[in-house]
Amino acid sequence: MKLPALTTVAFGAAVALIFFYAPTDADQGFSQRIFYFHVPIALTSYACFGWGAWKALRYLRTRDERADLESYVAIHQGVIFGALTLVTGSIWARASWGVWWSWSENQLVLFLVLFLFYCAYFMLRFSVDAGPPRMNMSAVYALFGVVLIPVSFLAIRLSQRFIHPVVFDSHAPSNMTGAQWLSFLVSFAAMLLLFATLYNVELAGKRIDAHLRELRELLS
Amino acid sequence: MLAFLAAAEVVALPAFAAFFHGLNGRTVAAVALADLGIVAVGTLFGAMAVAGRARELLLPLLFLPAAIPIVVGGVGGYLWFLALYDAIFAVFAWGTFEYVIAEL
Repeated sequence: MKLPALTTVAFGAAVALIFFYAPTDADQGFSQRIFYFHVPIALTSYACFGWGAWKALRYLRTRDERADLESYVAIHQGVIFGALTLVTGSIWARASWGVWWSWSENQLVLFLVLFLFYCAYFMLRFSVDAGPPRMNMSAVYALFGVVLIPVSFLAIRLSQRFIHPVVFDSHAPSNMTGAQWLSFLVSFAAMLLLFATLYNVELAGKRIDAHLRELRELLS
Repeated sequence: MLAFLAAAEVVALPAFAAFFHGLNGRTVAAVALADLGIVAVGTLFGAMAVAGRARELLLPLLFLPAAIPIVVGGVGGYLWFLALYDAIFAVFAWGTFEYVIAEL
């Protein structure tokens, strides 16, 4: 397997860049370096949800059961990365704003809402008996989520209150220096590779599980 | 469902108008647009929830996160945002409803 090795290399490079290459923030000091973990993790969780929705669409188009499982695994990984986003964001908020959580920040609340939306995916999936109706519903729900994300983003931008910084706005290229961009992009690539690796591992496990169940049914 | 919501609001809105400041066209329009969003999304998730166990518990869990943008848009009085939400999710619910109720 090349992917785990590549992930390890990318992660090592990202950590080295973040701690030894990226400039220390003039305002927030050393703690600002968590930016290079927090933001790539958050973007990766969106990528997971997007991939899950793409597989859901594939399922609805082709009725291929593998796509249903792939959609489920991607969303599962997305929720794990989402939980990490909340944890790293909370740590950063404590270091930078002095509080672990701020309910008046729409950016935080809406990410939490999206996170809870995807947590409810598992409630839905595991309260319906396995079979085509469950696959249909999971797929529709996954697609709904990916439509809800941009709508929620719009809702965030509508509100005027900000202490959460927005780096990726219309002045995005000039908000970070070259060294910061390099560290950020390498970290983002490492997170995406981590997702791909975990996705493959979990998918392989789930497939073995399904095969085992089939064999058991054949035996009994 | 829309009729129920409209009936509830016909009773509730004059009461709110009496206690706070009077009603205007904007408020009524925002409430009407929010209703449409609630109905479109609620019907889709309602159809999903009835297939599951613990359906009474499942519906609010599915519905609440999806309805938060309605609350944000409604509280802020962003009519165009509510209209956009309604349009997006009405089309979405219309397009996917057959998959939810299909007994394949």
